Amino acid sequence: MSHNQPDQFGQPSQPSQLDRILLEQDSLLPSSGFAASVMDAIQQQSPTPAPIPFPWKLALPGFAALLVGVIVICKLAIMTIRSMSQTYVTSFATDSASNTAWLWPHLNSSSALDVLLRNAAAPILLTLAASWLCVLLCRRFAGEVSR
Amino acid sequence: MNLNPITAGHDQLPSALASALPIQSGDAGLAADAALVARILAGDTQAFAAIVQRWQGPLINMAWRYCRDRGRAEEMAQEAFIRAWRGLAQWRRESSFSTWLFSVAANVYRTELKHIPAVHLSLDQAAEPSSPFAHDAPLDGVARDEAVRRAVLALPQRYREPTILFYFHEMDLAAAAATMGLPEGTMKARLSRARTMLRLRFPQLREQWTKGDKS
Repeated sequence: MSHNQPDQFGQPSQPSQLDRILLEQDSLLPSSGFAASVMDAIQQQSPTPAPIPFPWKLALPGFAALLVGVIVICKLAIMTIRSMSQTYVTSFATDSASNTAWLWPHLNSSSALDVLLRNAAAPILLTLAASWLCVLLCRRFAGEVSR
Repeated sequence: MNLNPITAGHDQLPSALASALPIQSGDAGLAADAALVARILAGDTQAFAAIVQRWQGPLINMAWRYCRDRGRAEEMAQEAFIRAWRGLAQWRRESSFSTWLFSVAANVYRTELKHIPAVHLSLDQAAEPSSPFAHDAPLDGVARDEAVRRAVLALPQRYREPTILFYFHEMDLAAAAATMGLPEGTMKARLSRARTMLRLRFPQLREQWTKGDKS
């Protein structure tokens, strides 16, 4: 509002002595380092960089494979435990004199795959394969991140 | 002298003061502010330096009127800039950037002074010149003016801030009301009361006013 316009208090258009005193005040000039100190304070308060997002797109196939692997291993473990307990009962029931017959009860009567599944070899082999897959995936992710 | 940072043209100002005020004014200034804010919101922190450069003078002078302490005025202005930087996304562009910035600053200054009040006398204790004011007595005039300005700080808070902002905005009631976030009618009533209190405290001003009114 210009000083010459009528003011809001129904007073004359010219500023009063009080107005003049309160209008004409000394003005401060900012000190030379003021802007720099403000920017320093702001830089200190800048948020830390956002964490690198987890690569869900790349990891999802790996998680799916892991899930399948875990299910297969669990199933095999259950089958192995069942077959071993049956073998234990059978071997003692038949009073087998041969130790090798207790260790390999189905060697002659089952197929090679059956033997493999009924022994601990299958889960071990699958675990090794899963571990190797994990190593491969880790190397692949690490390669993509470092690139 | 037009101190209003929004309307001031630099050709009207002494060179020392002009350097403390915004580089641009009017529409160009508003557009510049909006562009700078857009850059800051896009992640360019350094663009805020231009905002600080542009508004440091007005914000420090506004703080000075709140506390009349140079060191503290700069501290309060710095806090106001930091608060503005943090809340920049909250500027809705319904009002000008300067209105929003002054509003943020006023909130900061009010809060700061609430926690650690400025050292000042009560209105009754404010010094009163012993002799009537005379235009040909410059030293008396300076002392009297300073006493009146300090007396503003001794006003009750509800009258102090409207008075400070009204004169900071060059008697622009709308701008002062926008900065405080109060209706103009409320501002007008508080200002009227504040001026009455000041005139009661300084009878010479009242007499002078009455004489001026009659002439």
